[in-house]
Order: sequence, then structure tokens, then C-alpha cells
Amino acid sequence: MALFVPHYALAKRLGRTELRSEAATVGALLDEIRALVPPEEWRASLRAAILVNGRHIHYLQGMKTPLAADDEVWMVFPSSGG
Amino acid sequence: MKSLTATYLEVDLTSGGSSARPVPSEVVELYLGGRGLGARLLFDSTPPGLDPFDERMPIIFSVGPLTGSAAPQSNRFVVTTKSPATGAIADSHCGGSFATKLKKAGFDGVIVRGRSPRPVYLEIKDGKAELKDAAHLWGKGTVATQAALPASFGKAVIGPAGENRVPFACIVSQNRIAGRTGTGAVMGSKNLKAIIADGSAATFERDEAFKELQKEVTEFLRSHPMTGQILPTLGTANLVMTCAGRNIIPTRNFQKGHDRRTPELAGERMRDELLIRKDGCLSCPVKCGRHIRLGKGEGKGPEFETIGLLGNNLGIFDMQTVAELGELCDDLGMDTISMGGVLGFATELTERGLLNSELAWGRVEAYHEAIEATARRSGLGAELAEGTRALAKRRGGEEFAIQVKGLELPAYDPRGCFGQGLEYATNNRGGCHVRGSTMFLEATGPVSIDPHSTAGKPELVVFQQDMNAAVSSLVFCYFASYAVLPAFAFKLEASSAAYRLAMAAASRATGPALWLAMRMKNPAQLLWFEKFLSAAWGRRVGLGEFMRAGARIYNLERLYNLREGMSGSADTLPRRLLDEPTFPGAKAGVPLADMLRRYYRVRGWDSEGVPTPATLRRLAIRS
Repeated sequence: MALFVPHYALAKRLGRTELRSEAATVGALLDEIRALVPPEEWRASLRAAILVNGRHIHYLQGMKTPLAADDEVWMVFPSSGG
Repeated sequence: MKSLTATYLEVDLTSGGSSARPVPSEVVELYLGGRGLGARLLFDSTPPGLDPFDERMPIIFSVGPLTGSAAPQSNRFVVTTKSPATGAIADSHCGGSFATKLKKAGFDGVIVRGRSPRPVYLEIKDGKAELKDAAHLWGKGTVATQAALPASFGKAVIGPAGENRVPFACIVSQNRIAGRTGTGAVMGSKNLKAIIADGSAATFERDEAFKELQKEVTEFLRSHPMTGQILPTLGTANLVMTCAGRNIIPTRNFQKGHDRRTPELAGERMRDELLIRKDGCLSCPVKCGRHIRLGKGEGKGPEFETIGLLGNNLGIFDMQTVAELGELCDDLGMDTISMGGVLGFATELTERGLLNSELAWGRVEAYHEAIEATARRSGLGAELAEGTRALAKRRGGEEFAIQVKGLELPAYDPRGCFGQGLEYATNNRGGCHVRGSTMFLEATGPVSIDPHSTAGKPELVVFQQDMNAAVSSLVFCYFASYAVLPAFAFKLEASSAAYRLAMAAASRATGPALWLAMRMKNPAQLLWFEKFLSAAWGRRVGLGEFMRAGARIYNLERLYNLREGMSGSADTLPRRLLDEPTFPGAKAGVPLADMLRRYYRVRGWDSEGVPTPATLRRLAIRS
């Protein structure tokens, strides 16, 4: 089962800092998560980057990126500083 | 055009004498101020091969052409000397209020040479300098030292680590830190505990056009998602979750890219659970500093780098504990990045049986004791105080000694941002992330130029390094440059066609576009930096001239390093970062060699990494 780590605000909404999923793709996993939160709160998450094992899904297969057991999927927002 | 002459105060600690030294307009016009002018002065005033602790070695404090103007994020100073950590040029930057106070005292900088026979501090007041006895301050931490000095003065002080010449000792001003490259050790070698400054000189004449520009840029920074929302709301700790998700936050001496417990150190948690108030430098609208609740009361919230190196890297996941270790380093006067790097390396050495110590991942008490011992060079601390590179020479483990040119790496593992790896390898002051912050455009920002590709990275790194050299010579805070990316990039939805288009364009077009841009004269004023410089100088400065100044400064620093015996072979990364993968499916780390060859060509250097005569002529560099 893949591990999903939501961004901070989503984690607070879900009441969990990580979830396990048997979804076969990133798209399917996000569909599962979307069903758990109100649509207006999900909208804010659409600007987050989706990373699978540290790699942005844009450079993988997008929403069709397949997930294997032990894969880690993170949702994070842009950041900067130093 | 206004007179651009800069006036430095020269002080000889051996003789106790001082005098004003004008720096001619034509030099200022080429090197701007701050970092650039400091590099020129260091290059010209030292013979080759001078040891950082030789009493003839100058330590140079510089402000910039906008200091005292109240332009946003302009209130910083730069310390330039030769680094005892690297043997390369050292420049370290700091906010607070010291820069404006020095300008009010009548100077654009201070050059200190010689060695006092006893501990002293330098007081600069309304154009006059006086050395005062510091016997009562010697041995004190930076907090107590500042408290004991007159309240109205701007201060730059060292702690016990600087007195003991720890090569990563820093200089502290209020609670801001000139952290990297060990400038505090050079100050300590001179028996100089502090410099304080105050005065009533006019600092900057602001006409209506300048005030309008100041207002416009302040409003822009306040409205930009990065400088107006993310940094003010979360401080630099906003990076924790992103870097963990990206698998690039140092973990157990860079053995991994994150830990399951990393989210416990998130900036959002600091905001929700510990934040008392925001903190920041004079005339800065961002206020990225944090003041938080600590076990003993309250104190400074840790920066991302402190969280990364003294927290996550050491297996410590309690924010208050990390903050306390950070405050301990600040008070003793040591760079938290290097200290965390040394402790991570020493812990792995211990794990492998190469060092006999109590250090173990997450063992807070042992780390606390080791930090104290390092500053005082006692017991194990005597070895740790020499830094990672020296420790590896003595104990082994060079392949996992995470340093470049002798400077410990900050909290971005370059195996997840190849351009940042090239930047680390080629930075003039060694393993540093704020010479270009390429990771922002590859990994942490809103649009990601494929971090696992080498395409366009040499051009990107050169552009970023030159831009940084110019910005930090003004002396502006480099955080302002994070607002260069348009705000709409932060609002794109990750699944939208516009986002995909922006990502593809950034990855494919960045290299060629920057290659072309760096060869154009470009008289346009595209950023606020050139506009402010134009206002200070009383003549128009375009982006092309501004960037050429950055390239000139960068190349001059390179020439200094070459002169001091540092060749192109030092442009590399630790073997762990080159060879050991941290991403599933990867066979190695950073593919540096190909990027480096191209980087030299883009820079106009030969295959050994030496600037060609044509490059020096093009940039009007006298060597």
C-alpha cells in the first residue's frame, strides 16, 4: 500500500498526518482523498505539487503515474527562504 | 551623476591608529558596494598566500549604496576576509540595524587589520573611532556581550567560538547572524570582540521619485505570494514540508532525503503551536524571523537551515529542542549549518567505529555537550572545532564528509536538485545555498525546472550566481529575489494545461534563453534592483550593466581563490552525493562532470576553470 502524506492544512482537516492507500495510480489516490473533504477545501489543494518518491508527477506520468507498495506520495506547496 | 566615492574607516589594531580611506568612484561603479567592493579591497590589499589569522589579514565590513535609504530589504552588511574554514574568499551577510548605524556614523565600511595586544572593541561614533578595553567582555556569549554594550549603538560581536578561532565561528548582530565561512574566527584572532557604531550623519537623500519607488516596491513585495504571504506567515521554516516531500532534507548525515518524523518540524506547526510574534530587520516588509515559546520562556524560532542541520539531520524532531540548540550556537557564536554538519558527520563516524564519542542520532544531551565543547575546544570539541574536512583527514570517512571546499553543506540535498549541486560545487565560498538558490527554481518554488535533468542547469546556475553577486553587493537581502517569479505562477493548479505548459517551457527554454540574455547589453530596467541603484547613483542603470557587475564580482572572487592556490579540482561534491542514490531507480547521485564542463564554457573559463583573458577584458577586470 502506498503512503500518502497530505500538506499541513489537509492533514489537519483529515485529522491524520499520513494515510495508506491501495490506489493503483496517483489520480485514483487523489480521488479517494478528495472524497474525504468538502469541495471548497479541496480547491485549495489543487495548487499543491504532487510528488511520488520525491519526484514531481509532471516528470512521471502525471495523474496516471502508477503506485506500488511502499511508494510515498506527498502534497506540498511552493516554498522559499534559506 | 552623483559622486559615488565610498568612504571606509581603516583601523590598525596593532598600532591603534585609524584613518578614513576613500574608494574612488570608478571602482565603486564597477563593484557596486557590499560584497563586490569587499572582494576588490581584499584582492588588492593582501599578498598571495596570506594566512587568515596573519595579523596583516584585513576583515572588511561593508554596507551598500542603498544603506540607510529605507529601501525594502536594504539594511544589511557584508563581512569579507579569507576564510579559515576554506582558504577561499569569505563573505558573510547579516541583517539587523548595524548597517544603517555604521552609515550614520559616517562610513560605508570598516577595514580592520593588525592584532590588538589585549581584547578590545571598536567604537565608531560620528566619524571618530576609538578602541576600548574588552577584558570584561572576553569569554562572554553574544547575548551578554551585546547587552553590556551601549544600547543605542548598532553592534557586531563574536562569542567564545570566535575568540577560540573555531573556523566556523560567526558574527552576531542583535539576533541576526553573519553565519558562514568563519569570519568570527578572524575577528577573534585580532582580539577584536565587537564593533559598535552610531551617529547622526545623513544617510541617503530621498527625493519624491525615490519615495514613490520605495512605496511601489514595498507594496509589490507585500502582495507577492512568496514575500507577502509564505515567508511572513511561516518564516523560512516554510521549506520543511516541501524539502521533505522532495526527498532533499538532510537526514542522518545525508544518508537519506527525509524521515517519517520530518513533518513534526514543519513551519506550520511552529506557527500554530509556538509562535509569539514575527521578527525582522530594519526596513524589511517581509519579517521572516520568528519569536517562539521555549521551555525556559521564549526565544528565537529556528531558521530552516537550523531545523535541517541541527534537527532533522541529527534525528531531533522537537522544534523547541532544535530552537534551543540553535540559540546555544548563536550565543557561543557558531554557524548552525556547519555545526550541524560537523555533528552529523561525527555521529556517522561514531556509528562506524571510526570515532569514540557519545554522539548518536537523536541524543540531545550529547549534542548539547558537543556544541559547548566545540566552542571552547575542549575534549571531543577540540576535534569537532576543526570542521568536517579536517575531521575526515584525521579519522577517515572522506567519502561521506559532507562539505565543499571545506564548508559544510546546507539543508538541500542536491541529489534531488542537480543544478543546486552544480551551484554548491562552483560557489566561490564553498558549499553554500544562497549564492544562487537554484533549488528554488528546481525543487521548492511554484514551477520546477526538472530537478533530475542537467539540461540548461549550467546557464541557470551562472545566471543565478551573477544575479546574487550583484544583489548582495547593493546590499539587498536575497530573499527579495524570490519575488522575481510572477505571482500567477503560484496560483496555477497543478493539473491545469497552463501549469504543464509553464513546467515544459521552463525545463526546455531556460538554458537557451539565459545563454542569450547573458550576452545582451539589455538597457531595460526589468527589476527593482536596477531602479534603486539608478536612484542611488543618479544615472540610469540597466539590467545588462547590473548583471555584468555581478559577473565581474563573481570572476574577481574566482581569481582570488585561484591566486590562493585553489584550482578547478576543488569544484566538486562529496563522493556520497555523486555516487550514492537516494531516489528509487536512480543509479547514482549528481551527474556533475557534464554540467561542470558546460558551466566553465558558459562562464568564459578554460577547461581548468580559469577565466580567459577575453573574459577578463569583457568584464573590465584588473587582476
